[in-house]
Amino acid sequence: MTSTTPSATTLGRPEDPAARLPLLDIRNLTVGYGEAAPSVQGVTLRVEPGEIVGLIGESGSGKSTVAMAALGLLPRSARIEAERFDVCGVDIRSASTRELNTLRGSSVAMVFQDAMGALDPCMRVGAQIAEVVKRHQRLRGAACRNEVLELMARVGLPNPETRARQYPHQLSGGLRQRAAIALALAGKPRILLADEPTTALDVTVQAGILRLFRRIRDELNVAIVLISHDMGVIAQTADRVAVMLDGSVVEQGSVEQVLLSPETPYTRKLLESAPSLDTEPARTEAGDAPVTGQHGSDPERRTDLMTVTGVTRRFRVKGRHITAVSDVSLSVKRGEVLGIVGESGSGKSTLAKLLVHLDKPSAGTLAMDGLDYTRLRGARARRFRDAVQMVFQHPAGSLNPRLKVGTSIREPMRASKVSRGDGEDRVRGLLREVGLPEGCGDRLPHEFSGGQKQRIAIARALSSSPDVVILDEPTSALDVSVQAQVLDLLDRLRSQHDLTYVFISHNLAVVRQVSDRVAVMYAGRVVEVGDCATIFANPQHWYTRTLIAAVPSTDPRHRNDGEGEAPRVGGSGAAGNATPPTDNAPACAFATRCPRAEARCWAEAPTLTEVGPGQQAACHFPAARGAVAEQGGS
Amino acid sequence: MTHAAPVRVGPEAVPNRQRHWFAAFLRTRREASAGILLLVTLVVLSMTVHLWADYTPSEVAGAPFSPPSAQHLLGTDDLGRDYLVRLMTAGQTSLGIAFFAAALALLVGSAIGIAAGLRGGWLDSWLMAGIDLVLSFPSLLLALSAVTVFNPTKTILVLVLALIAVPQFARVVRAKCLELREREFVLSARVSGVPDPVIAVKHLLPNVLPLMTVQFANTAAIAILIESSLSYLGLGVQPPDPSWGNMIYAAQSYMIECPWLPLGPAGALLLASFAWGLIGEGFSGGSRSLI
Repeated sequence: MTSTTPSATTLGRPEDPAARLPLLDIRNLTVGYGEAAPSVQGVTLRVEPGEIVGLIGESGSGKSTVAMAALGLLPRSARIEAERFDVCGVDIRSASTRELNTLRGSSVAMVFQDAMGALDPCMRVGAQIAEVVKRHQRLRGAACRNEVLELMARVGLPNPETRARQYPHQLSGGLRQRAAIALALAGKPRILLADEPTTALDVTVQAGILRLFRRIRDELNVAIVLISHDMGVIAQTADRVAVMLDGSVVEQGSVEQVLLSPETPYTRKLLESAPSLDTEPARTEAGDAPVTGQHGSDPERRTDLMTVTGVTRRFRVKGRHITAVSDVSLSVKRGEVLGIVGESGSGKSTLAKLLVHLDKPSAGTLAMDGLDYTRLRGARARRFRDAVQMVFQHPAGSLNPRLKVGTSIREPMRASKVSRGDGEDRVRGLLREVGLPEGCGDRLPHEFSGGQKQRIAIARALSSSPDVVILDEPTSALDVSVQAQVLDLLDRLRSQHDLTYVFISHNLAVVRQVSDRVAVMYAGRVVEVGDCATIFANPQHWYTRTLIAAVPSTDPRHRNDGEGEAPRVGGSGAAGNATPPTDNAPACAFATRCPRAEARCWAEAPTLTEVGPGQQAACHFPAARGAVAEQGGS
Repeated sequence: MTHAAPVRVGPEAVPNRQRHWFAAFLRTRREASAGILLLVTLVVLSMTVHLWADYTPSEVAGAPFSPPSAQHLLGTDDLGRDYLVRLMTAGQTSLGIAFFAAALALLVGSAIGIAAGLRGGWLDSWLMAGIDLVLSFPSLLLALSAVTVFNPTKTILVLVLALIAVPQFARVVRAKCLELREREFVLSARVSGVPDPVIAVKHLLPNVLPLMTVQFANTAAIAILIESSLSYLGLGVQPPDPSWGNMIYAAQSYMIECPWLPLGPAGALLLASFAWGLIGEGFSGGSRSLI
């Protein structure tokens, strides 16, 4: 289904002459507020019917402003100037409120990042879609009902009859986004604006939503403007791409042209800084200090620094027990970078909290350098804390907004150890080390950008001279170019201070770039662990394969169009093919999604077993080595 | 990015700190400024009454029931005492009691709220159970019974009014602390082995401060009214000490003939309570953006 001539497969709207005109015709659009520099400057963009146009850029580049302007949703204080600004033949600049209301929903619709925000939490999903169908298609009764069910089926909501009667909170994140898309399609729009529609979703769910976008384009001939910061998402979905920087489009063209042979240095920089699974991670020649991954000495000589043995953490939520981490055993070796990957809810962050002793396990032990710290309290716990530090995901949240950053950085140094003068010196030194001016210690956090705050958070983590730093999604909130800088910084600090990192992320490409070893978590368990290169080249657990296959390739030629195999390593598109032998929860949590699940997976929980040198997987039917090569070609 | 223009770090990017914070305060928080101005006027007039007044509050200064005149700006009462002087003297009592009650409630309530919010677990459960117990009594009834059991001295009044206000303080502060406790800067402090009392003072307190300011002003506004209600019922400040409540009570027999007698203290009450309300409102608007 690599249809570049969508009209051939058009099923929906009958062709009318107006459909030949561009749906979105923007020429030289400038949007500004007050005296400040305009947030969008001289943007020219045309979207033809049945075309997917990707709008890519970093935060603050004006992507969303363009979309909001096209819907006439900018605040009144916005100054809009353009040579031409037509949406489906309506001039947005002079349209009345009534015209805009007709336009929105029936000609243009929007899909947002946060599907929960787009759906009314107090209304059944079906009723919400029916409301739009009634208003825009003027259908009543059974006709309306059928249309709603058809829409829901079209966006891939299983059992539409049942789902229509459910409330948004009863749907999972992916299904909720599908429902939001059905809602957007309910007015039979000719153009769909999607603003970061998959950013909040897990990578396996994202793959499905991206396929859905292409399908509705093919089936309904709807034009889609896809706004994203993710090169892979754009590469996998868009026909044409516009790259935005500081409010202007710096490069525009077909997806192959822009992503494979970018013309502007900015696009090249964006592509280079986005870690990808398609390219080998950047590594320097032997002899140089290694830039990323595969650090230093022979792994056999490394000793275990942290040992996690049979750790389980249960929470009681409203009388129900939830096992966030289940019987996890791991070791972190001195001087290595251990990557932990998994989707949301896999227990990564709970494990991180257990590792830094913010939380105590329900069962199992954690030890550092042979010292069991599972139940440490008081002064000894405090001494342990000097050795283990943590960096959190949200740079804004990890600094007290009312404390000077210097005070925050000095906090981990204990008063008894460091005198005031020495402390000041150390803070200056740390700031310099993380690439900030020495003198900025007496400023408040809000004076810094996101990347700078994360540098401060890193300086803070280093101030007690720790042995281990737990990094919980340290770059997930940052733009790709900033992410690249922070990853470089982390690597430099690691070699200078002999640090050990536990690097937790949902981003596989980043984990592959920085890690020596990788542990893959699913539903609270470690399902696969081993050397980074081995795991990515030859994943043995079916979940790992699914995960790797779902990461969108930044190469537009590798499109995963079918519902089936991905072009990368193995993988499975469809849900599990095995019919559950019982209604009980399976012993292997992945069995319901696993393409190889058999009765044994329901009956007997798999344990981590050696599947290759330096590689363990918890699977009864690990992918055989030969099969990988075979599938890789298909 | 939430901040419109992150300062680029470098020598040219020294943030221009607001030098005239007072001017900025007047400009950005007009309601609060108006409230503070009104309140300060009332407080200064009350506290300095012995300096500027020609009469003492209990001295017979003229004929009884004289209407407002140049000599007696608010007239005189049933015994011929100057009403403005009495009103301002009463202000010392009424404003003072409300202020100290709110301050005491702030100290106790915030301490409970921070302890409960930071520690959680059984401490939280027990403290909140106690708070709910106090809350389950209607506040005026609680005040009435307490004042009936003990002698209605000013100290007792402050204690009783504070007791009524503590639960609200504790709840507001606890709710915020529960949220702050999960914030990453508190977690990083924990990871660094910072002891709980230090976390409470360094990380929680500055962040609940705006909330406490608002709650303090609102509490003071309500405390003034409750104190007056008690005094009006004869259970608050006892004559011959004047308070706005007992002045209204004394004036109600002459309401028709001498309307300035009830209107004076009622107006003062209204102004004081309004001033506190303005302060609370003025701070609550801005505090959200601060957090």
